[in-house]
Amino acid sequence: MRLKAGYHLIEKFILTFLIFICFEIDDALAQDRSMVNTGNFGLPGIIDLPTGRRLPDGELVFMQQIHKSLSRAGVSFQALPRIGFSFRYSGHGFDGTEAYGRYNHDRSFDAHLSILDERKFWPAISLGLRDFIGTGHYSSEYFVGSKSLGSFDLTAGIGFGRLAGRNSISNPMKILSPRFEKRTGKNYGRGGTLGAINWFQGDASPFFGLNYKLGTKIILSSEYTADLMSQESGYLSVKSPWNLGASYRLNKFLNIAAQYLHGSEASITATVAVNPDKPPLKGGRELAPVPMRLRGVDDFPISESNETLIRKVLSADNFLTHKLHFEGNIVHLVVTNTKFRSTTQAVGRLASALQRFTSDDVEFAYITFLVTDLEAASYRVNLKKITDEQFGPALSNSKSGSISAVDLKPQVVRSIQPRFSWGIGPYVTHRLFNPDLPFSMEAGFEVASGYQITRGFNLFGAIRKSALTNLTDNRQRSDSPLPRVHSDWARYDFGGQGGHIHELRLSYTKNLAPGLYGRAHAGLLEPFFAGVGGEVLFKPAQSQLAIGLDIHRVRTRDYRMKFGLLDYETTLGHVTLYYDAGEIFNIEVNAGRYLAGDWGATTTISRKFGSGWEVGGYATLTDVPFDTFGEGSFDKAIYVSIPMDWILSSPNKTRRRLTLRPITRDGGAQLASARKLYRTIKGSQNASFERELGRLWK
Amino acid sequence: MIKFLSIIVAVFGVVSCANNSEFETGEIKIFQAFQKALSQPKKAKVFLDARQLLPRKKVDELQIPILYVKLETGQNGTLTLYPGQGVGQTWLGADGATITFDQGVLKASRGMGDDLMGSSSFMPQWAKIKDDEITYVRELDYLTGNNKTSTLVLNCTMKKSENQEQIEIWDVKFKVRLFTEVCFSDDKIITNTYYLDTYNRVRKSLQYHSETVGYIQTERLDR
Repeated sequence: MRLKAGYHLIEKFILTFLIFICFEIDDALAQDRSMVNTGNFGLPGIIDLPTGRRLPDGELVFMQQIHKSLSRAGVSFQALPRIGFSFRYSGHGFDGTEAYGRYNHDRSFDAHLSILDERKFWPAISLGLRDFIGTGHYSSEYFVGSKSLGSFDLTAGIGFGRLAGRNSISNPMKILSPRFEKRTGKNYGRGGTLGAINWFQGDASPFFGLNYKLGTKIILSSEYTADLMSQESGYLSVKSPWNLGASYRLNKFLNIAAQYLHGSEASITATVAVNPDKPPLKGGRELAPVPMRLRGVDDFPISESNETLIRKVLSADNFLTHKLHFEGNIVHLVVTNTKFRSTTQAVGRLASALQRFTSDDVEFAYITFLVTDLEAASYRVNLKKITDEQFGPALSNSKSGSISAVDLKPQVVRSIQPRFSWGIGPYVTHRLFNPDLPFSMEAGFEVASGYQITRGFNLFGAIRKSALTNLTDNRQRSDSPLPRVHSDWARYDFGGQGGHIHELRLSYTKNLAPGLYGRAHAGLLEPFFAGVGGEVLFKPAQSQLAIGLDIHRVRTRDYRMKFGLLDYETTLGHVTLYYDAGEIFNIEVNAGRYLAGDWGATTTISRKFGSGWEVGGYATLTDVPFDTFGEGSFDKAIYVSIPMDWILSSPNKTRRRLTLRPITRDGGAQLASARKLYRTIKGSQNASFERELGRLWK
Repeated sequence: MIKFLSIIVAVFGVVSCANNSEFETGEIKIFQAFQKALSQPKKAKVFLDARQLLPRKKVDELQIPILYVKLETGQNGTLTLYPGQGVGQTWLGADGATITFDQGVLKASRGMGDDLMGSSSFMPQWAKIKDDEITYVRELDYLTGNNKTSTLVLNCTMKKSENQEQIEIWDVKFKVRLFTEVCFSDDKIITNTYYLDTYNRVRKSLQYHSETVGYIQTERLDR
C-alpha cells in the first residue's frame, strides 16, 4: 500500500517536472543545430539509436530511408522547445504481397523529450517513447545522455522494449515500483490508440555510440545497438550489433547519409530540415512602403487629402480599393488585399499611405479588409501616433494603442471585382497510406466559374476531368459497417474518371452585425455530398475566442459525381469553439453530429508561427466504438501548412497544406464545406496581426 | 514518372489562367509564384557603376540632393531625397528601396531584404561633439524570421579627428573632418566612419547596416 502511494507520488512529481520543462522556452539554451544529427527515426540520433540532444524549436524534418528490406518515410516536428514528435510510414521486408513487394506497412509515432541541455559538466539528457501509438512494431523507450568532447559527440543510454535485447539487465526502476519489473503485453486492438501502457517496463539494455564531426559538413557515426531486430528476423540477416554511417550536409536544408547496418545492409537516408523561423532569405524582398510625414504643429501643414495619390499607391501594392471615404477627422478605407499574406504588413502599408497623403485634419483611419465579400476585419489607426513607430518598431505593440482591431457596423460597399469570374487550370490530388498503393495521385484539368448576383450572393461551379491517374489502381474496398460516407472514396475515384462536377452551389455570405458573420449554401456542396445548410460565427474583434454553429441536411452523391444522388440522407451540425491568442497554440473544438450519424467531438491543436507556417493535428472521438470504426480506431490526422512567401521571399498569399491522414473511414467523418467562415476571416483577424507585429512597417 | 511530370508541367504552362485571383486553383497559384520568382533577374555578379550613368556634370545640372550608396556586394546606385518632412531624411532608389538617415546616421531601410527596421540613438548632435571621446547607446531593430522585432543594443564611442582633411567625391574636393564611431555588443564590434563637411553634413560614410547586407558606403554628391 505504501509502495503504491510512493509510486503515485513519483508519478505526480515526474508529471509536474515534465510540464514545467516542456513549456520552458529559453532560446539561449537552444542547442547548436550543427551538433544535432538526425537519426533514422527522424529525431536526434546517431543512426538507429537516439541521442540526448534536441532539435531547434519549430524544426520540421522530412526523411526517407531505403534499404533492401525497409522503406521508411517520416516527418518530425519540434512542437515545443523540449518536445519533439515523429510520424513515420514504413514498408518492411521484400518479396511480400503488398506494394513494392513489402511484407507489411506500418505507421508509427514517437515522442522525444529533452530534460537537460548540455552544460560544462553535464550531458544533454532526454527520454523518449518510440511507436507508442498503435501496433507497436518499434515499441521501445529510452533514457539517453550525450556529451560533446571536441569533435566527438558521445552518447550512452538505457533502452526498454525493443531496445532491451542484447546484454539485458533487470529493470533498475523496479526499486521505485514492481510494475516496472515485467513488461505487460501490448493490447493494441484496432490500432491507433495508446493501448495498454507498458512504457519503461521489463528488462533494460545499455546502448552507446558516437558522432564525429569532420569539418562542418560531414559526420561519421558508429553505434552499438541493443535491438535484436527480432521482428525483422524473417527477412533481415543481423550479423553485428554495430551500425556505421557517414552523413554529408549538402546545404542548410538537405542532408544525405550512407550507412552499413547490422553487418549486412547498406542503407541510404535523406533528410530535409526546415525551420519556420528561418526563411531562405531574411526579411523578404518588396518595394519600400511610403515613408510617413511629420504631423506636428510646427511641421509643414497639409490641408487637403490627396485621394488620387492614395488610390495610386494602394494600386501599386495590388490592393483593390472598394471604398475611400472621408468623414470629418476620419477616413474609411475598404480594400481587398491580393498581395500580402501578412495582414500586419498590409495594415502597415495602408496606414503609411493614409498617414502621408491625408490632410492634417484627418486623425484616424478605419481600415477594413474585404475577403470573398465578407468584411473580415477592421482596424482603427491613429495617424498621428504611428508617425514615430515606422522607424521605431519597438514602439508598436499591443499596448501602444496606435492600431487596434475594432468591430464596425456592416458597411455599404460596392465591390469592384468582376461579376463574372472564371478560371481554368490543373488540379493535383493524392491519397496516402494504402498498403496496396501507398502513394496514389491524379492530375487533370479544372474549369471553375462564378457569378456574383449581388454582394455576397454567388453562384459557383467547378468541373474536373482527370488526365493522368493511378487512383484507379486502388484495390481497397470499404468494409465499414457504418453508413459509407467517406470510406467509399475508391468508388468515387473510379466513377469520376469520365469528368465530374466537383462543386455547384449557390451561396450567400453576410456580415450580420459587428462581429457576427453568416453563410448559407445549397447545391452540390462537395464531391461526395449535395444538400443545404449554413453557419453563423461570432468573433468579436478583440476576443481571442470565437464561437460558431453550423447545420446541414445532406445526401450522398452518385459515384459518377454528376447530378445523381444516392439514398443516404442525414442531418449534421456542430457547435465550434475557436481559440487563437496570437501566440504559440490555437485550439478548435467541434462538438456535434457527424455524417454517419455518430455524435462526438473533434479537437484540433495547431502551432502557428509568425512566419505564416502552421503545424497541427486533430483527433475525433465519437460514440462509434473503436472496433466498429475499424483500423486506426478513430479519425485523426496531422497537417503542415506552408506559406509560399516564406519560400519565395516576396509577398504572396498562396499557401499549401499537406495533410497526413492515416485512415479515411466513416466514424467522425465531417462535411468539408460545413465551416468556412472562420477560415475566411482568421488570416485578417487580430491574432494574426499580433503574431506578426514585427512586420507592421516592413 | 517522367511522362507524368512532363504532362503536369505542360498543363501548368499552357492552360493556367483566370480573370480573378480567387478562381485560380492552388496549383496555378503555386506555379505562378514560382514562375514569378524564376523570372526575376538573377543577381548580377558585376554591377554597373552609377558614375557611368550619372556623371558629375549631370549631378551639378540637376541641382537636387543626390546620395550615392554602395553595398558590400558591389551593388551601387544613386538615390534622391523623398520630398516633405519626415522622421529623418528618406532617400529613394530607382529599385524602390529607401534608406533613412538621421543627421546622416543610418536610421532605417526598406526594400533591401534584411532591412534595418529602425533605430534609436543617444548620440548628441554633431556640433556638440568636441574633441573628447563621447560614449552613448545605440539600438538597431531587425525583423526575425518569425516576424518579431529583435534589437541589437550597442555601446558606442565617437571620436573626432583633430585635423581637417580633403576628400574627393566624384571629381569634387571637400574639406571634411573624420568622426570614427566604434560600437560593441556581446558578440559584435562595429566601426563606422563619417566624414563631415564644414556645414556638419555627412559627406561620406561607411556604416553598418545588418548581418546580411554588411556595411554600406554613402557619398553625398550635390555640392
